[in-house]
Amino acid sequence: MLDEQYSRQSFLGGSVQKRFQAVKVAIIGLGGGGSHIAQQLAHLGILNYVLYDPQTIELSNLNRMVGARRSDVGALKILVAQRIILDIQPKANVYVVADRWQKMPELLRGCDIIFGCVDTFKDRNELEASARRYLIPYIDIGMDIFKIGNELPRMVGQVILSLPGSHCLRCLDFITEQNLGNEASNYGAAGGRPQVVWPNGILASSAVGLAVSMITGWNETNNFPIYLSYDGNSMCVTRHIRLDYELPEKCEHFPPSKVGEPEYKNV
Amino acid sequence: MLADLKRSHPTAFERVGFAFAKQGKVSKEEVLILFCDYLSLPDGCYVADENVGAQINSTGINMAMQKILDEQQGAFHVHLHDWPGKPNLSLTDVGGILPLIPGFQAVGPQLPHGVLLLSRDSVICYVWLPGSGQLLAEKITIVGKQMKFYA
Amino acid sequence: MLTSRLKAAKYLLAIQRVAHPPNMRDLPLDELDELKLVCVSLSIAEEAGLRYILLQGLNLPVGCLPDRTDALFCPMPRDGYLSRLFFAEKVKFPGVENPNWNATDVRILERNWHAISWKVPREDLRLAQILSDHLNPHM
Repeated sequence: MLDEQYSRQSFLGGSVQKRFQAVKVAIIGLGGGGSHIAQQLAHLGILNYVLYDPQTIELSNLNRMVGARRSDVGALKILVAQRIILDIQPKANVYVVADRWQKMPELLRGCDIIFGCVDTFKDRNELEASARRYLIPYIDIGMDIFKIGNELPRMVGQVILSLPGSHCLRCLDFITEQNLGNEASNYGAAGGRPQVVWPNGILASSAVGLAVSMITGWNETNNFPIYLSYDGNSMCVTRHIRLDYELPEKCEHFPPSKVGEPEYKNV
Repeated sequence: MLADLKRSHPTAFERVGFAFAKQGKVSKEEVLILFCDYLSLPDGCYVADENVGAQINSTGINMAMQKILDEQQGAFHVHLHDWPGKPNLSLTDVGGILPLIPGFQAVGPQLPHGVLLLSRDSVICYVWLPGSGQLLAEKITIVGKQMKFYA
Repeated sequence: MLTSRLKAAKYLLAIQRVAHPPNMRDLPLDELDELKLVCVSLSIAEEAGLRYILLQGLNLPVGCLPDRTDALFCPMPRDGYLSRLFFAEKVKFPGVENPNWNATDVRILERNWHAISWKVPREDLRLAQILSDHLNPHM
């Protein structure tokens, strides 16, 4: 008999709650996007989490960090996320790491899905590479608000599924050496970027919807786009135009044989 | 892989393939077997034998062994019990498949080897890790736009 | 309509530029042999379309602390640099007061590495020359 807590999501399928309980997810970055994802996954019934974020909450985070209270200023973001999850799912297993994921990367390997809610192309690049080594689907979200000259602010975002065996963030031209280079040369100039709550919510919800589709198959389709584009000015989430143009036949950045521990060839 | 195993064969009742994998470590207690390739056996690699579902000849076995050597990936014998429910190794399976494992281990002693047995809606996996005996995989995940989980 | 045509044109150009992964710099055997004179334990691996040379137990220039460490050399464009040298730990170089370690705990090939912001300006150098330039940032 379905737990009353999930009675309204019974359309997802009969054995779905067992699947949600068995799945383990990682969320890297528990700020504006990651906090939404954590909350939604908890509502769905996901019970196993690995959360990474080294940062503490600042006053400026309160405009968008789901579940954060004024009294949380100074507290670790992961502890607030842990609280959100446990308030909804007291039996959840929530492993928190108050550090960059690179400091404890082994915990990612046992996860079924990784959500990347990070700020830099560099972090995405490294996360994706690790996820690919362990055949873990990686769902990336991010947003940006920028101005060109005197134009109105432009609000944009993305949700991308990097699925082992399929196109990666480099195949999709989301990560390029150019944008990694631009980012590296701006090192230290980051911080204080415009951020608001509702686009984070839209992107996080899209990412969660994608994950639910993958875990449950409720919509019986493999035909969903792996790259979603968010235009905040026109309030649209659409299939990214990149998918309409030729993609490499296969991903050459992460060939299927390059899994597990790296293999070095002696010279 | 499933499509390959479901193909009919001129003489054998079932088809056999080999999946290839590498090992990844999560912790001291948790090991991952990461499947990365599949070898479909040509029709000529089967021995005509009415008493068994499928029997592969030395050519087929050598193909698997060569791939272990060339790619440094562990070999897993794969076949399908085409009915629903959790599959189990039959006596014929035990007698015909398990003796392959020492041969795989001789060629790739530092690699995981084993047996993957599929049914219409389930799968089990027996693994021999380097230096270990037979282990049953606790959880199997099929990664794709529709993920499948078996425990 | 015009906006989507412009977007389409931008992506067609992008495809032509980066449809395939950047060609791996061929690593000539003679240049690798030269590297082996600097570090006996040399091996190569690839990740995300880039090739890396692992130099295990690389002896560092006189005056460095530590005097020996593992290094990961990427002789291909990466992060806006023509080449990059990563170290297993942060190294103190003689004559360099506050090096800009702009890459710390970078995860590559399942290990964490650190690198100084250092541009080797020329593309036509041999691997050993590039490595030497990276190892002597004070020169």
